[in-house]
Amino acid sequence: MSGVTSRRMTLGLALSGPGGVTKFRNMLASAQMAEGCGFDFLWLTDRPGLDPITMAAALAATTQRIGLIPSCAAPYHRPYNLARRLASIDHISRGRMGWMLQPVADAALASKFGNLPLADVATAHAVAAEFAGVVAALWDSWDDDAFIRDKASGLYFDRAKFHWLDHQGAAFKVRGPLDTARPPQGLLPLLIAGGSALAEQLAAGQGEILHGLPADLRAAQGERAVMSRRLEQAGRAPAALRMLPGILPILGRTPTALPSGPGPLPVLGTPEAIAGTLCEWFDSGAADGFIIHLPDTADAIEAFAAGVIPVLQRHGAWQPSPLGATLRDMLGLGHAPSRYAEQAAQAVA
Amino acid sequence: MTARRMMKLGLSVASAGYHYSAWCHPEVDALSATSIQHHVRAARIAERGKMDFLFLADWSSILNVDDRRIARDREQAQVKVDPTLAMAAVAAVTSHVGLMPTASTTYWHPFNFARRMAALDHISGGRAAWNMVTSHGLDEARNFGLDKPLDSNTRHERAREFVSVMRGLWDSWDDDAFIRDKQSGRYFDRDKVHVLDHVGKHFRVRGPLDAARPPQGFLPIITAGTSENSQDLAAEIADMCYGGQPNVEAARAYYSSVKGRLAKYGRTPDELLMLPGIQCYVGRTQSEAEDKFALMQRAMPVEVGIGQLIVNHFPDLTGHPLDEPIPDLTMRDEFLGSEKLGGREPELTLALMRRARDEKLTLRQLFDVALCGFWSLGVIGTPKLIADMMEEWFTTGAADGFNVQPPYLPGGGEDFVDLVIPELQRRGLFRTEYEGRTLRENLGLKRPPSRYATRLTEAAE
Repeated sequence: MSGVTSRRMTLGLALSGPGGVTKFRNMLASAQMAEGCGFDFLWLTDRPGLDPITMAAALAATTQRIGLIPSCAAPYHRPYNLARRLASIDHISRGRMGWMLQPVADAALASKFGNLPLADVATAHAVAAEFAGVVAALWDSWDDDAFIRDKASGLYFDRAKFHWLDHQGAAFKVRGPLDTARPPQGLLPLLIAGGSALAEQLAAGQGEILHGLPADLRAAQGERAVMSRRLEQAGRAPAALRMLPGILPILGRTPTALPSGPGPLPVLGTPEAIAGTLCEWFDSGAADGFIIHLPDTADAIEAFAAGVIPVLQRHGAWQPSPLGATLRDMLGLGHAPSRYAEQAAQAVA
Repeated sequence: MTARRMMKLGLSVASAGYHYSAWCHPEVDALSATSIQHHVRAARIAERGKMDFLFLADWSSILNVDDRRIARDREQAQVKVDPTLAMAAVAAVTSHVGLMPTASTTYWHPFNFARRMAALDHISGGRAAWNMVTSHGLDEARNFGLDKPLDSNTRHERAREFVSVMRGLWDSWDDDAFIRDKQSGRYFDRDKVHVLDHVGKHFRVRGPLDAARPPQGFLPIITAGTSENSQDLAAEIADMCYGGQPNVEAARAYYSSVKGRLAKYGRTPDELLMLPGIQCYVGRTQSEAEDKFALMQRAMPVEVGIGQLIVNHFPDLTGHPLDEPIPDLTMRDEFLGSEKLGGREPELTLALMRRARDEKLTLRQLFDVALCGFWSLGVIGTPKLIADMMEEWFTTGAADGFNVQPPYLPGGGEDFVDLVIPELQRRGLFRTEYEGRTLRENLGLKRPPSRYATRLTEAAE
């Protein structure tokens, strides 16, 4: 790959089935297995059972390298509360947190909360976009070097290095600043579940990871082209968003019935064949990596990892991330500078 | 024969400690506020001392940052980690100590919160509790779309409904609802799940909760506050009450005032544990303890002391020489009755001003009085002196235990665990082994049966 910065495939894991959802020790076993196998992150989808954000905090204390991305249904959180909770786990995990924001226009879910107005799909996405913007801005409340903590002078922070937000939008009114330090990563990577134009627009404006659902390589390439245009329109670089299509690997013999309908793409065959498909997509530029969907059992995780990951590694597409890498590092995104630092730099320029 | 009554003890982690300048202490990690290692270390100290729980305070804003007279930039309290999440992380690496995070009923939603606290109880194997607060700060209100805080009646009404919804949601699934029988393929029993269908003034919540009933049934609730509203709410819904009285007479009055309200709600006095806060500087000798206090006071910038006096309705004493008696002071009333600054009750301010006048205190001496033992219980002394005081409070109707507020951590917590707890144990006032596995078991609080189980029992009778 002469003349090109070497790309590294990102491998995320999404688990389905009840598995660890009611028993934390099962979830911990799955997370530790995934970490041991080299997965870059675990997407803690919002399944019935243990609250994914609380679980992420407990997993942050019991894992060392794997990234953690809990799902958050936008209408059931307040931006200030969620910003501080996610920042807290980024501090706890030393920069291994992401978040998945789900715009919800779901009557069944809304009925649990009752007093929240139920939005139509377009409004739900508009609210989610404002939500994500407020959360990101709250994370910039304090400059990275705001906390001096100098025992000799007794100065804990520099008053000149925090920022009022004073946000007043269609859905939220938030003064700020956030009552916690800027997260180690600056900005936690935001995962958006694709599958609609509204979701793609949200991802282009605010996301760092798009979980796409292309039906084949051509569709994935098409989605990449669409997203590049959308990113450009949003004033963002094409590499600011990582495209990680959802894959449902089916190892071994062809099963009698394949899952159909919208969802991660079933890819069947031997571990070598599955790895070959992933490498083809990756090399063609259609994908920056994948979110692998597996049943929530240690056996399933191990079987995939033992068969497929070594082939990816031999191909040179994937290698383990170093200990201490942040989730942004694993995604090839790097530390996100604060908006105020960027404004200051532009003012100087 | 009933078991001997034992003290209940919590360890409260307020960033690097309860002293405003704890972070400046030479032995303290200045990064404590956001360090999970710091919180885990504190939990292990509490666990080593067989203490009942770890406590984390919380509020959702930074404080008085508009007011430059108050030197918040020299204090540690502006940044923190979300306590329910810090506790989830601590839960995963500890095994006995209870976990008591603070969360407000004013800016959370009961469905999310019930779910989150159920998760904490599951993750910890039944060690979670909740410090229930209502939010009255102006800075907080502005982070949640409001121009000013809700009034006290509305806050308490909302809190009452919030707790009722949470408890209803925790009862969504019977204790034996999950069969998980691989043979028959049945995961749960449909007859053992209940839809709450709550419609109230503040919340409409259908349920059921998408989490199994917490190991403790209901998580124990601790609450605080001296207003009529707060005391009534404690008597109605709480399992523990956190007090802040500076002397035994005031603590006895508070103890009997809160406990006296229990009968109104059909409860007995042993169903609510009164746990005042106690901040102690412990030394093997009195002078060693005093040296520890002096070291902490020396580390405190003058601006921090003056700022704390301003918060508590004193005039601005900037520029006054440290070692000269302070002049006669009159209380500022510009912020009384408002939520602008916070601060303690004005009666305490007047008492402190009186004392300064009568004893001709210098500014430095005023700081010493104010920073340890005036606004809440503080004591500087040997394990014997501290245990004597705790025993007096415990045996004369002022306390059922204490929430220990170490001035700095880990040192202040280690001193309490290594020096004071053995003294309490020698006197038979505190456990030498945990009695149970859950926090409720250790606190001696019954596990509440589900409301549906109760109904079933009544129907059978």
